[in-house]
Amino acid sequence: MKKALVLISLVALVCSVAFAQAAAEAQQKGPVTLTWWDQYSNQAGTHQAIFDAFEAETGNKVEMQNYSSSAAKDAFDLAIRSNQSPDIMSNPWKTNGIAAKYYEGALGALTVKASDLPEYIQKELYEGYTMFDGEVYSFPTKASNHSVLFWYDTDKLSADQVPGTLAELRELFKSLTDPANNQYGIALPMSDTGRMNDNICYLISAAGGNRELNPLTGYYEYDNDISKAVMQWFIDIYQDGSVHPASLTLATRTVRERFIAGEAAFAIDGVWYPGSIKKAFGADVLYRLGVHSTPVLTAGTQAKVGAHPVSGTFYLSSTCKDPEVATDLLLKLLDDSYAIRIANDMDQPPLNTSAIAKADVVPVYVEACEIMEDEIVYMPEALLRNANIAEVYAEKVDIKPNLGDILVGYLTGAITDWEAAVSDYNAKMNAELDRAIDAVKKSGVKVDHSDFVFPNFVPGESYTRDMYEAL
Amino acid sequence: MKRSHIKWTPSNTILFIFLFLFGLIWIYPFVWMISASLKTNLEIILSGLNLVPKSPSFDAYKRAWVEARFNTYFLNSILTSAGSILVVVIRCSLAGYVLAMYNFKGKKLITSIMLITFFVPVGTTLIPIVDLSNKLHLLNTRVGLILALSAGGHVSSVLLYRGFFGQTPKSLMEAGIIDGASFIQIFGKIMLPLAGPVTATTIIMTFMSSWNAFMQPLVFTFSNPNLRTLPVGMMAFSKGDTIDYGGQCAAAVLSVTPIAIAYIFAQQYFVNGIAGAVKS
Amino acid sequence: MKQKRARTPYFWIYLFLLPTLVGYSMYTLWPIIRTVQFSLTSMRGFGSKVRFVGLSNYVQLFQDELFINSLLVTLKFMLLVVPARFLISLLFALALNWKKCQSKTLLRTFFFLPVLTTSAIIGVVFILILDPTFGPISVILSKLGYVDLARIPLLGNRSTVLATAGAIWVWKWMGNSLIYWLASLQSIPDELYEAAKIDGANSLQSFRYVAAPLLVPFAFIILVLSISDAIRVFNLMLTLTNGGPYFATETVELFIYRHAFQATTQRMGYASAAASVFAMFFSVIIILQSVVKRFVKKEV
Repeated sequence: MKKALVLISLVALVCSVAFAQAAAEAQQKGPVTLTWWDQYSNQAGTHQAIFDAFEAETGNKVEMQNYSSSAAKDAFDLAIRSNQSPDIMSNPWKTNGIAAKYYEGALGALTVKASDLPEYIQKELYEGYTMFDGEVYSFPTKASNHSVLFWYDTDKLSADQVPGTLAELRELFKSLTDPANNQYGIALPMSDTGRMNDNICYLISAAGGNRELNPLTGYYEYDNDISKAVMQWFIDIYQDGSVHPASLTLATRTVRERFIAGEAAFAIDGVWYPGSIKKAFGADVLYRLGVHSTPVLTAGTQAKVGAHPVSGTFYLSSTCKDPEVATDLLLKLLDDSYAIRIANDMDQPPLNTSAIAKADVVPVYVEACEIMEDEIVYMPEALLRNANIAEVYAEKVDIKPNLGDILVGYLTGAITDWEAAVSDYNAKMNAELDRAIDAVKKSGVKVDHSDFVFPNFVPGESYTRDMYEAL
Repeated sequence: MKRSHIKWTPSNTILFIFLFLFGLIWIYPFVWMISASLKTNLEIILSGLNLVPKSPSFDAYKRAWVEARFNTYFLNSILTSAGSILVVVIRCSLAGYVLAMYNFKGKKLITSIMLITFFVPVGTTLIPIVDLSNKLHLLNTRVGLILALSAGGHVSSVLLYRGFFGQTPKSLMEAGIIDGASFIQIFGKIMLPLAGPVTATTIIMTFMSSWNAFMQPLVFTFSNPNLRTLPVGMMAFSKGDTIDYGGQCAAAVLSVTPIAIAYIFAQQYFVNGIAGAVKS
Repeated sequence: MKQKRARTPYFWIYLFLLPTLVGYSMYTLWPIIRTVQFSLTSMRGFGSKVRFVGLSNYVQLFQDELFINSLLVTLKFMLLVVPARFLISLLFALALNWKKCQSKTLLRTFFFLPVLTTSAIIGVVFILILDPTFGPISVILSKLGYVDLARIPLLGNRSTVLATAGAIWVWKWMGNSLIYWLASLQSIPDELYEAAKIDGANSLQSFRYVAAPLLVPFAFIILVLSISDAIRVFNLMLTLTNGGPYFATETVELFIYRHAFQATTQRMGYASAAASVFAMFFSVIIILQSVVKRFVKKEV
């Protein structure tokens, strides 16, 4: 009898504890802790300030995790595939890779309508980038940019010494080079051939060619004269001995070190260069940064660099704990104060460019932003015309060696005929595009190569929204 | 080791000088690393051969330990290695014991499968292991990582235990049976303590492999940086968005020092442990 | 024996085997089978759509110059570093095994330090040490007046990078083989040497006729362990060169890793095919090695 009594009371105790706990848990469904992953370590402070203010206001906490931009893609992909996505994440995929994430079911919609967003944001929302099926999934907070700004050391030369063409620049590099004293014209991130490939493609675009597909034909044209001239330029400056010898083992970040150590007069980097330099070496070296418009092949032409329309900066995952709270948090990023803060960090400039003038930045950063505004033109994007193209992008595989690999391969003696290698690369890129389109077509999805052809595209001019509609 | 005094003779002096010079080459990178960890980033680039920093500063250590989170990575490495060692010792001693002492159905099959797959490279099994761990919800967890490092492979440890138990006299076991000891008691109280040297070898071998393991921890911690081990943390630090040579060197010093100290104190175990691999 | 079999405690035996059986099946055997399975599909990443594509990954693989390159790089690396590690460690072991050798423990500690250091750290630190402008080697060379020589990036030059990585690898692992050799040498009874001495043999002769034959079996094990280490070099290459410049140091494991995890479009099916071929390649080398071993045994 006694045993039974003890047993019953024990069961009762357990039940009541469990009940109490459940009740407590139900009540707790007030403040949440959101997880936030991004690849903007330069702005960790800015974001943290916003999170702190958000917590003070709403009681909801945010846990931030910074990844380096090289590690972010792997990390986010694996997290998505193992159902461990954070609530909010940045977009480390290439601009047109985000659609594939949407189709994978990785993204969740914001709880805000497009019409509720400010005007300057609305006009940058594109179906396939930030909108899917009419719902807002994200919005851009940062302006479009390119990463081939030519930065020079003002301790070594003045602005009027920097020429406008690649040929003149080559001569300047020669005159700046003095190996016995560790002086070189430029340091290049040649160990990161992916980045070198980007640099080459951007310069091809500035020289009047196409960074990616030629919108008029829908095919790659890396084997034309413009592209080859740009490749040749990189080969020339290397063979002149003007390129810092450590370049083959340098990446973009380590190039900065050589630049500040005074070993390289030039560096190719993005608009965020002052921000990164400030973070790594302090503000007192910033005076040494000078920036120049992107050099071109033919004197007198203005560089026009093709870019994608901007995609979203932050997305919610489909597993987001509380989309409403997360949306509220993201809307805080529309405040002017946030735009000014990003400008202060001197990273990728805010979409709201008027904030740059109000921010506390060095003049060279403003100059870099202006150069980019002059140079960037929007290229047409097949994805924005037919959302199914996301599947083609997901099917398409990387072709190696790319232009960056070929350059390094040639300079290190692994490739003897680089022009043939470039033609081969071009042919393979086109063949892979065709194959991917065919494979997707076969699986019953409506895509066609003609989606990549934009007859109304005018080289050197931005492809605007109404031009998609005019197709 | 006996600390006998060896007389200096011309021939052994020459040999000593020769070996010592080589020894210096062997430790020079460590000296350089320590020196660089006390310098500023620009000083590392500009100071040439000078190993003595102008104004030594421990800032880099603070950056590495706290900001670059090597405190976390260090703890992770220790926990991961400890977990792996535990799993490997338990499962290999158990398996080695029965494989040595008994004849049973499937024994030959088990042994030969293990021998065939002795040298399977990590790269071959990694993708399915990640896939499996993902399905078991073990990806991005410490348990998952420990299992990935310890549950498969380690055939040599099984063989070492089998070899050892095969040589222990059966009379010991029989005496235990007569005393009325159970199967587990015989193993736990009589046989396993006897196998101390093999266990030491297994511990050292597993420690070396899990402490140095890279591919699995790299992939298992892609999306959970809180679980990064030292090698993965080191790579993340060196490939991160900011450049900090001094911090990297400090992190390297911090990672090597405890192991070096452990080695100096437990030298004999390390030596025997590693030598055990050949003797098997 | 037969009496005993009647009392074989099967329950306990299988219980004791259980952890290893389960672990080994899940983490070694099943993954091997899955790798082969994956290699026959168009698998991109985890959880992506999968199509059966037959042997087409393999066909593509053998047309992929970069895969052939990675096999050759792995093989070259092995041929470069294994003999070096083998011989250098033997020489040091013989020296340290000499009775009159001073400060054995200190020297052994020096040589063993790199073994304790993880490859990722070694990779990162050596990039700095080998830097063509501020690295100590370069500084010494340029102080001696060889500026051109000093500025050659050892890790950025096709003709030097594999040898440089190899030297670092040997530097790292030599201490491990050293311990193997010392253990092997110590297993030779002193009486044998003394007998040889009485017979009037000098130290070279006593090594040749006394130690060498007894060391042969150990030598094979040391060789197999070195070969398997060398073929699987991954950590060091990833941190030191990431396979560059222009794939000059892209070993098979790096190739697999690049396609499975690093590429913009992951290709796990393709990487799995490479992994299967790699496992075959690996077994062929190990089998070849044991054939040689048998052959040598017969000769001796």
